Amino acid sequence: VDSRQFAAFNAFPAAQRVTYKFYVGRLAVFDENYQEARASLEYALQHCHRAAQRNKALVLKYLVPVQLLLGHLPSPALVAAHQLHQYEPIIAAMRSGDVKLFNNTMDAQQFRFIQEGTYLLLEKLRYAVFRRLLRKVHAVHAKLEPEKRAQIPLAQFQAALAMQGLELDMDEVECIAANLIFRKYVKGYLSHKAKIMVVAKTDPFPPLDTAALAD
Amino acid sequence: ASAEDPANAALWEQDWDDDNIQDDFSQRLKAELQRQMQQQQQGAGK
Repeated sequence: VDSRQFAAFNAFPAAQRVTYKFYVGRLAVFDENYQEARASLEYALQHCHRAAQRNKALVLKYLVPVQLLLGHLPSPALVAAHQLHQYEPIIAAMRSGDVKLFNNTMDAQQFRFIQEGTYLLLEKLRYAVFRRLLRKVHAVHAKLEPEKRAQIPLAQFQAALAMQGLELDMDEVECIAANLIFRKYVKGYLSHKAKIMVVAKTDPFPPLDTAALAD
Repeated sequence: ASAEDPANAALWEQDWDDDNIQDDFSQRLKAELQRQMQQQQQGAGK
């Protein structure tokens, strides 16, 4: 379809363009190609007939998780306009780094999200929530010990998780921290011996859309 | 006018991911980490 011999994309009726982009977007989600998924689904949303609320809801069902993964939160207006309330606790968890709220929501809404085909996609947000929490720990730690701001004791991350009701032992905390680094959610390295995470002095938490999101 | 709807373009929030620690949880976290540091200092002093 992208071939130059093929008729120009804009020569097709809007309805066909929207349908095409919707499926290209969904396919890109399966391929873990989230930037392309976002572009295609956004096109579908923006060019969808303004009265076609059901189709818009269909597009948003996939676009919202993709946008969350890339660090773009739907505004309250968007949530209200399209009845996206099932995502509200997920959005709140991402914003505040509340791992407990995220886990509880995924448990409580598991059936619904599986039915909607978005469960596995939303599962991927867990590391974004961990990252957000670690970022808070980093910010608080930087305030308390400015000269050691780049060295976050893992015990502090563990304490933050425990405050949310997640009692994890040090190996589990280290595992999460290692995954955050591996997935490029954090720039830094672990000192297994000292139980410290050393993070980059500049921009230790790159924007979410630069993380390694594919498995 | 076109039947397509461009009105949804700017409905995504991108500037939420900051280092603001004014919220309630961060304040409690701060208190907890302070407590942890004091304990460590006491432990090291013995």
